[in-house]
This record gives sequence, C-alpha cells and structure tokens, in this order.
Amino acid sequence: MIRRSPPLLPRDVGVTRYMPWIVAILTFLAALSASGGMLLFRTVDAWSDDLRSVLTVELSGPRESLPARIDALAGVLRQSGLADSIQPVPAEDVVALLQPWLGSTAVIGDLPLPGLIDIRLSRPDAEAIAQIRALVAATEPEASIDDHGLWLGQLRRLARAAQLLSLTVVLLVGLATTLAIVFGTRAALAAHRDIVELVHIMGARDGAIAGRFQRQAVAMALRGGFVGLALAVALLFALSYGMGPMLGTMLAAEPWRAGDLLLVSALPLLAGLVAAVTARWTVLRELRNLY
Amino acid sequence: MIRFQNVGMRYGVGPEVLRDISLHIEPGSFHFLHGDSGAGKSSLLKLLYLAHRPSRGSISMFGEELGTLPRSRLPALRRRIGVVFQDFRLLNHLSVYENVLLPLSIAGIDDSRARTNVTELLDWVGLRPRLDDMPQTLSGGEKQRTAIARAVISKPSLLLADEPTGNVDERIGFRLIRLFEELHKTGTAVVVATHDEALAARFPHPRMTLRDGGLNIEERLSMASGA
Repeated sequence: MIRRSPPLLPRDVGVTRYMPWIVAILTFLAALSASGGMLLFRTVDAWSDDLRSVLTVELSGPRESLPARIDALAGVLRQSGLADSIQPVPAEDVVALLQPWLGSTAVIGDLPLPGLIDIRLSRPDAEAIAQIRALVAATEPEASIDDHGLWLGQLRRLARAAQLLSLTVVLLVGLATTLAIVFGTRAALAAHRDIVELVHIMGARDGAIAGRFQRQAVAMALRGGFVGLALAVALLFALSYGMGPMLGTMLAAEPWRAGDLLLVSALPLLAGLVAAVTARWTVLRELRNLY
Repeated sequence: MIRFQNVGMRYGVGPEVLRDISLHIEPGSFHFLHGDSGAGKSSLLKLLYLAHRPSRGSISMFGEELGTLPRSRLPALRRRIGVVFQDFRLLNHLSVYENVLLPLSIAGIDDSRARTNVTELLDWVGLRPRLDDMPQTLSGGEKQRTAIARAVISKPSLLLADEPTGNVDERIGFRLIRLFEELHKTGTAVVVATHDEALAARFPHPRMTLRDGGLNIEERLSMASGA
C-alpha cells in the first residue's frame, strides 16, 4: 500500500477560483499593450530611418533659368558619390503637390514655384549630410536644404510617447495583478484560518505553510497568464490577417523582432513570478501575527 | 521540563485572565487541571502549547527560555507537544490515516518510515478498519480516538488534553484517562484539563486548580475508589 504524505492544506486553498480569469484578462491587456507599443515603435523607427536618408534641395529664382541650375546642381551632387539617387522633381509634380491646398486652377502655373531635387543618401549620417550641404552651398548659395528634422522630431516624440504609454499600462497591469493576488491570498488564509492555526501549533514552519499557498497562486497565475497570452496572440493574428493589405503599406517591414516577441511571451511567466513573490510575502506577513 | 514563573496573560488590551501563575511540570509527570468554566484552563493550555505569548513573567520549556528564544525556533518546541483539543480539530480534507500521520509529515518524516507506526497506533485505538475513512463519517468517540492518536504519534514529551471527557459518558471517560496513563508510563508528561473533579479523584495524580486567574497546586491526592 503506497501512501503519500498528507498535504498541509486542502488541494484547493481557494486562492479564489476566479483568480485565473482576472490574471488572464490582465495578461491579455498587458500583451496587447506591449505588442501595440512595440509595433508603433518599430514602425516609427522604420519611418525615421526612411526619412533620415532623404534630403530635399529647394532652388528659387527666375523660372526660365531653374531647369539649367537644377541640372547643374544635380550633376555636382551625382559626382560626389554620396547619394544612391539624385532625382530632380518635375515641375508638374511640384504643381501636383500644391493642388490639394490651392485646387487645380490655372493660377498655380503663374506662381514662382521652386525647383526641387530629391536626394537619397547612401549612408544617412551627419557627415554625409554636412558634405551635401557644403556642395550645395558652394554651387547654389541661395538654395535651402530640408532634412525633415521637424517631422523626424515629431515622429521620435510619438515613438517615445507610445513606449511610455505601453510601459505604463504594463506596469499598471502588474500592480493590479499584485493587488488581486494579495487580496485573493488573504481571503484564502481567512477561509482556512483554523487549519493554518492547527498546523502552526503542530510545529509547521511558516515557510511550509506559505509554500502551499504560493504553489497554488503560481499555478493559477500561470494558467491565467497563458490563457490571456493565447487570446492576445489570436486577436493579433486575426487583426493582421483581416487588415494585412492596409497595414502592410504602413507598418515596418519587420514590425516585431524576436526579442520583442520573447518579451511578450514571457508575460505569463512574469505573472507566475509576481504570484510567487506576492503570495509568499502575504502569507508570511499574516503568519507573523501568530506567536 | 516546563517552568512558569509569575506568568500573566491577557487577550489584547483586556483584563488579565491568568495572574502570577507559577508551576513546574517535570518529565513523565501527570497532572489534572481543574477550574470552573471561564477560569482560564484553555488559556493556560494555550500558553503550554505555545499558541499564545504570556503578557508577563517567564516561561522555560525543554531547557529554552521562551522570552529570549527566536520565533524561528518555536516550531521545533511545538513538535515536542501533543494536543488533544476539546473539539478534536481533525482536518476534514484528510483521511483518518492522514490526520494521524500529519505531525510526522510536518516534522519531515518520510511516510514510508511512519506507515507502520501510524497503522499500529490506529490498531491500538481500535480504528484500523477505518483508516481510509474521512473524519466527517466518524462518530464522536472515533473522532476523539483519532485526535488522541494524532497527538501521540510523534511520541511527544508533553501531552495536553483539553476536556477530553467532556463529550463522553463516565465509563468511556474513565477509559480515556487510563489510556493517557498508559502514555504517561512511556515517559510522556501529561496534563489533562477537565471540569470533572469526581473522575480525576479516581486517579492518584496531582491536581492544579485555576480560580480567579490564579493557580493552586495540590501535589498528591489519596485515590478515590474505583481507580
């Protein structure tokens, strides 16, 4: 006859049966928030990389002389070898850029429109940009260069805000999980106070009693955490499948990196760790009230 | 083995329920503890089985001064004390066997090493056929015997029984005290709290009587008839 040692406490110490659902919902929210934050950050990062490598040179002056000056400047820039492409913008494209604001009236053609050259740099670093600036200033002292710094700055602020928001939500969800486990553990302790007192009197160590609550809290948190993560992944897959064509043009080519996905996948383990520490701390703190 | 010196006890900020208690329980001794309802018998037992701190005075137990003993060393002392509670306090999620095994399990003794002892003890108290049953299915007497088996399984240095005869008739009560005497002969010190002074008078053991929070000790009585 093989018998196992009796458990100090009932198998279900009642760290509240609804707790896995609370942890599942919180993990779901944390996973969505973290994924959304990372997605936005990677996309903005990709946009920023794209913009950092593009400069626009703007030439103004008499309309008749502009094409020759543009060609001359473009020739100088091509010879520098600093750019992958030097592309003068056709005059009709410049007109098309203004049409959304001024309409398709004949008056646009009478305006003193600037001549534009799009430059895509081989390597988008400060040194290359400074060399381009020097070449343009030497050839066309009146020309101006737009490095899209204002737009880039706004994008970077947006990326930082998205990260901060995502992190805040994950932290709040962590706090809510901790509180839920504290209250759940206290409720379970209160429900089994007579048993806890009895095994305490029999000489059970605080750690052994706390371990029983801890094991159940961890099992519950892991169960809820993986359910929440599975729901979040399913929703993200459904969204990417349903909105794929539209999102594909807007998002970064690699919206999530392996490290990001690993971090999100670790959320249930994080929930388990929070449960382990919180439940143990709560029980030990309560047991200290006993002699 | 156990010595109380001018011990007082109160619950929270309430009045003292025990005052200036001084006693000495020697190894292998047997004491009855008497007192009217509310006299403080259960409170004194709580001090003895380390469920409550004294509010004043000093207690030494198994050579340790409790006032200076770190809390982490109390479980080891508690494992040397067996307690039979008036309401038995069996764990309903465990079988009779598991209830009796529990003190050994808490002490970290492997089940395979304890199995023979538990089975023999259950045989001794007449509960071997019921070792797999749950406490909810036991009669009052069976619960009591299970509680006694649980209290003595670890061969405690001190056995405390709180009104063990409170729920049984005189004949069974007498047999229970004889059972405690059997344990006492193996070297366990026994303290039996009972309001039944007539029953206690049938045994030649010292009596401690609580009255108005104070303790009076009669060292040895002449035996009444029937013991």
